Amino acid sequence: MAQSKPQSKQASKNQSRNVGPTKKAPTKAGKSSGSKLTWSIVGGVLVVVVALVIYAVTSGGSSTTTGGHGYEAAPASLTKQLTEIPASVYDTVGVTSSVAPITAPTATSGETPLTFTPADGKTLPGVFYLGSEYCPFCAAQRWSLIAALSRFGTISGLGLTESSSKDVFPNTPSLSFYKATFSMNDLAVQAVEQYSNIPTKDGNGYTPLMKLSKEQAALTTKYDSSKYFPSGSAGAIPFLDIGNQFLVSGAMFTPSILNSLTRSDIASGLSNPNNPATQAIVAAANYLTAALCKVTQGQPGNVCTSKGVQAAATAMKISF
Amino acid sequence: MPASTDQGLRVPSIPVVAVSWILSLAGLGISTYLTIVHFVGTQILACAGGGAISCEVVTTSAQSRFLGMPVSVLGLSYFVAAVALYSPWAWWASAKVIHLIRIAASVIGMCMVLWLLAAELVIIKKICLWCTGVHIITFILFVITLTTAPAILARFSNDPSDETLVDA
Repeated sequence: MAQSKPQSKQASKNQSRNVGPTKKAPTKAGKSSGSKLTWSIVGGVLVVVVALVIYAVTSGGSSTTTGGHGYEAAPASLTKQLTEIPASVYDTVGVTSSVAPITAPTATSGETPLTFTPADGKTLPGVFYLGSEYCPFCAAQRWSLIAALSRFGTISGLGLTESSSKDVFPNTPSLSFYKATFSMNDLAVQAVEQYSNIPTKDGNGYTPLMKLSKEQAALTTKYDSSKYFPSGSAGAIPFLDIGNQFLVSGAMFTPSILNSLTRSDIASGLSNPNNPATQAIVAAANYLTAALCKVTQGQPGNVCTSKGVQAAATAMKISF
Repeated sequence: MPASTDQGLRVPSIPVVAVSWILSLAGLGISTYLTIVHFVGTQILACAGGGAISCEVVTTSAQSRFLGMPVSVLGLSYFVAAVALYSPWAWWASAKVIHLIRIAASVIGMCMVLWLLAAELVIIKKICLWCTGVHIITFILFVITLTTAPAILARFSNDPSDETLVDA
């Protein structure tokens, strides 16, 4: 038995070889053509890689860096998703968020209306925003503010940013107002991103981006104060002054809603009124829009009379 | 023992097998790190930045997802499979299907790398160094796989029974 088994196995192996079709070893020519094909494919891959690198180099490569700040323009597709949220989404969401409370702007009374006179010489109701790129609450607030302002005109030059990785709600994705310009018929907007999200060398702060003018500093001192806000949030950023008639200090919703999402996740979800991040952003945007409609005296009509904005106006007990 | 079978057992050579397996393990390490970064946040991302290099921008871009799946998770899955497919046991396995799967996976991986490279250079305009490391590893594995494929497949065309390679 001990000897028969290997013999049987060998016999089986031989039988298998004999019964099966005769196989020929690859010829030199066959090997050569296979090798040629292999290296042609590898060469093709390298050609594609080189072509991509050449394209990247000749088309300008990375975005420009200005003043030590890595400004990167927001992609048009992203900006479009945020600035062209469907009206049906605004109307469906209204001021309701299923995941977090939304804080309405604080109304003032008896204050002199804030106006700005842009370069074209036309004095318009003024909107002033003060924030910083490192600030996670600013990161959250900008989504709603950009959405709301874009209902009144055009915002250009938005950049990509995210809050500091060393602060609470680290790396909250957002868009920056640094280098942004506003073109609106009924509003004049001034936005200041005071600091970047780049820590200073000593680690005690962030590198400066934009300076406050004297007038802007005076507005902040006067209105971002304990006169209008609890001591805990007075002086906080983001600070938003809508015509001196409505004020916001801090974010209108918690940044935790956005914290684990990418910019793309947030932007692509803005067409879905059931998306939790969308609900927070849009509900806050409706509140802001209602406040803006108040200072523009109901202009533009199609925005200010929309269902979502009217729901916000009702909640804020205002009319226009 | 037929000469072709004997040659087949030694294709690819031990150094090639060792290099491919080490590269697969390195790829697994990097892709594991990038997956952790994806879920924990870029605050743990150790990456030199400046100019055209920004791991942060790349790993949080819209292109960091492919068909709804995080690319880092896809990369991790690829290298989990690669560690198995480029192991000595897989290289010298008698089952032809293992070698065919390795070739297919390598081609798919290379296509994915070309897409991601195009996304970095053309769309995002930033390069992620960790991702580039993964891309280079995938490319080398692709070259190894393709250059060894003819000899490995020849083992099977010369021997009608896969099992004979093991028994011999």
